[in-house]
Amino acid sequence: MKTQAALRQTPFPSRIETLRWRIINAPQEVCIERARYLTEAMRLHWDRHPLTRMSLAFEHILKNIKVLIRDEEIIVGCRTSKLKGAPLFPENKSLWIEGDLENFDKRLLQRALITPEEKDELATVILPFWKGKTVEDRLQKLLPEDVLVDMDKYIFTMMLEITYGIGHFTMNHKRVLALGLRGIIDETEQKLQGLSPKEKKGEKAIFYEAVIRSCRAAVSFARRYSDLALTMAEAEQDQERAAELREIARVCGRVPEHPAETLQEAVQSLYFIHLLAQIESGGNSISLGRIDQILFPYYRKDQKAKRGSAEKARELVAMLFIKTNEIWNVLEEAFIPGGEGTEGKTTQNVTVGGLGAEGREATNEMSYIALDAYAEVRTVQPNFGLRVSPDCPEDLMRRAVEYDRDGVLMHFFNDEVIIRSLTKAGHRLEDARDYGVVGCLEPNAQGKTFGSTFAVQFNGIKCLELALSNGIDNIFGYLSGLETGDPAGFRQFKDLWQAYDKQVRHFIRQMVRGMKVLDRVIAENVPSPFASTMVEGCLEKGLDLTRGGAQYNSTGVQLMGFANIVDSLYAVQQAVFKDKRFSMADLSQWLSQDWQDAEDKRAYFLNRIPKYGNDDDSVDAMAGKVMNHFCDVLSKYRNFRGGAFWPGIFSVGFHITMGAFTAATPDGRFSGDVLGNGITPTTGNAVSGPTAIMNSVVKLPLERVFNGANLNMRFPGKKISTENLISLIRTYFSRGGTQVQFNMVDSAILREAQGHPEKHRDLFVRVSGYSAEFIGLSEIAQEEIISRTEFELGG
Amino acid sequence: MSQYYKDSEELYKIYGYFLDRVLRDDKIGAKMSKAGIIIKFMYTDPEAEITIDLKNPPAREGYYGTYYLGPSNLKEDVWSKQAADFSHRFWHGRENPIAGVTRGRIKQGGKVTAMLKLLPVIKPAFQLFPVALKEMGLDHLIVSK
Repeated sequence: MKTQAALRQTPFPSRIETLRWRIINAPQEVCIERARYLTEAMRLHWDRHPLTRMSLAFEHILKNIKVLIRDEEIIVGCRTSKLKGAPLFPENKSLWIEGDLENFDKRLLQRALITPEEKDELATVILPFWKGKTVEDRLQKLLPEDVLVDMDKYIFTMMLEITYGIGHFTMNHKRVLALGLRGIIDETEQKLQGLSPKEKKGEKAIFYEAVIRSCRAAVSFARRYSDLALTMAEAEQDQERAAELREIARVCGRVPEHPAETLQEAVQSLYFIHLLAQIESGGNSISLGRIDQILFPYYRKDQKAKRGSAEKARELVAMLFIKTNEIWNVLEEAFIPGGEGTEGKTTQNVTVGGLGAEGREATNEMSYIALDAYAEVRTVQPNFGLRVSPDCPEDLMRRAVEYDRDGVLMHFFNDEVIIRSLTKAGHRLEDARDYGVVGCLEPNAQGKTFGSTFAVQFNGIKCLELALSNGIDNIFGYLSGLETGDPAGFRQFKDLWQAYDKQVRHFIRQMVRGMKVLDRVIAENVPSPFASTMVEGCLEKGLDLTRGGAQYNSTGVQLMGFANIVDSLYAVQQAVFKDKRFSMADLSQWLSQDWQDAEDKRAYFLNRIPKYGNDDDSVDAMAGKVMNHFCDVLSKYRNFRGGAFWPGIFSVGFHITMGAFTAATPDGRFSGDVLGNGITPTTGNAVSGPTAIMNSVVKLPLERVFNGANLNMRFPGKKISTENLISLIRTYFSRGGTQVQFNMVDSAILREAQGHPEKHRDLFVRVSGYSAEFIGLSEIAQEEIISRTEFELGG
Repeated sequence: MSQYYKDSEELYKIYGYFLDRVLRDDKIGAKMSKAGIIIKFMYTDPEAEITIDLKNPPAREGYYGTYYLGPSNLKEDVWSKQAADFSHRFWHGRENPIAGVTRGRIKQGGKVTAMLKLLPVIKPAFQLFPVALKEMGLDHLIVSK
């Protein structure tokens, strides 16, 4: 197997630098085109079947939104008329748009420009139509009152799915590249014709018709680019650019309608499909997945035909990566703290390396090319990761680690454990091996899964707060949870554990009930016939993605405050029940008063009791118990689409917001303080070094956390050797770690960026499972990242 | 039509009295001042505006911050807009701000994360608000549990 890409040291052509800085410096804007054409179509077709009206709206949008080819572009396609434009999805939730309308361009975070004309059109034409018709409106009507009440407590939230829809999947790009949309249309037409007379009058037929209409609309959209490129070529004075435009015209005339033949056609086709799925719906984090496996055959074909080079391939992939930075969704301002960072919520994941479906290492030349392209582009998107199998080529690993040391942000995923985990979750072994990663770090069978991986964020430590206060929310002082008993009456640790268990079970049950209604409303209001074409299972079943058409279905539920739960439970077990140093009654009182006048007690709980992340078997056993419990509680439920609820432990920005709504905890944390993120120990409490942290983590039942668990670590990149870092990752993975990511930026640079943000527009950091522009984060999020422990690791 | 306030004058009178207590309180005021932000509360029904400055040195001795009743030229770090009645119930600890936001009863912007950090700090003030009303002889405005 030839794995060495020879061009790593070659500087990128100026075109890439131009494109890179253009997107980094582009202002964020709101674009109403999609909302305008969606609303026009819905006004005409509202009374028709949701699948029909969605596909008609998709067709109308693609026929009318602006097509643009910007200077220097080779890979083309835009969601909006603005370079960094956020389209709006009023069909999901429109109330927030109305509320934020006057403020989009005045915000401190996620400021997004919008013209007065656009504001006016939204206020007078678009938004009035959606009153009473959105997913949110219907959800409010259908949710049982007790679930609504519990949702308002912010112990669990489905905010992102309500606002933008489900998203969070990878697509079967290999199939589209091989067959072209024409091939898929032909297959679907055959399926339609093959239906029984009864079926032809039913939803299956409507679904197939919607699929065909959506695919034809996609082909027409690409042809509009082809026509534009040709027109531009004719007017172009520069002959070199004119030739490029003619090639763009040829490529867009061919793909995605027909099978791709060249690498440029493959990249263009892939980007069109990626883009179109995100025009159809606003669901975040639709991911490219295994880019090297998808593109390699076309690269090889070019090589054999002597019509391409590794350098040209790298440039094409770099252009694709830069284009992904155009895709972002603007958040409701009040919810930005839960999704710190502008681009974070549209986290588009890409991986290279790892096993192939048949079980052999599948790293290929494109793995290196894509890694090099990403390292030189260094933009916030895509969210890049290396899949590491035991046979991962040493030079690929070394190259990735070297880049990482230099501050190129990436994940490392452990194939062995993730594949075992996915098979435990019910995947066929071949599908588990061929996992792509979605969003932050969620492994899904590439192109076969509709995993709704970031559906729910669940505040587990809040449940412990309620267990320690007989259901009282210590932030507000009113009854919020179940009355699980006055903690003063707890005689043994088991009593506290049972109270915690009851609170968790109650809110998980309420969340499941809420999710079932939300998923049903999404399926009934805003199905996704185009995306359904791209995920295996839907065409075979004749069932939309949102109804369970995909081969694999699941719903991700992320546990927040994992380390805080562990440390708090352990602290109570030790200090109250084992050492009998304090009474439950006193502790409960201190917590309700945010350790007021009890600083010495807080110091004891914080400093004198061992914490998770220090390779302490007793604490780590508690961590295993907490993780197993969360997995057990979720395991009994099924979602609307017939899949399971998958436990995940990564936080995005919710360790900050959910922390703000969580009162003081027995780990010595003050009320409102940030929670631990992912499975990372709480800041400042893992004092035994990085190896001890990893030793603690590998004792956990990570394989049960199907939706992924995130370990964040911070090193001074310049002071750490590549060998040591490789060794750390390899050892961690050999002992059962699933994923790890690093921040390598010195605190001094981060402080400098706070003082002079204008000089650091391209400084990106890992927040939780994703990257963000450092200067675009709130001060609190910036401080949280700076405060993370910076470890040493030899020379 | 407000359930609790007949006009903005009455609202200013009540909040002026209440904030006077809060911003002089050694526990609540001292913790609030650590937020280091300027917050603007905009009320509807009746229309009113109150700015709390926790960023600049307090204008008066013995206070941990400064409040301004009515429009102010101070540039806020974070703003919050809500019905005066919602706010009235909130200061009794009877409204969850998250529910307020999700149901569209509160709009807020700016350094929202920084404002969230104030939530745990102001909990003791929930007990002060009805006390303030009682001291002002406005027992009928106290929201009973």
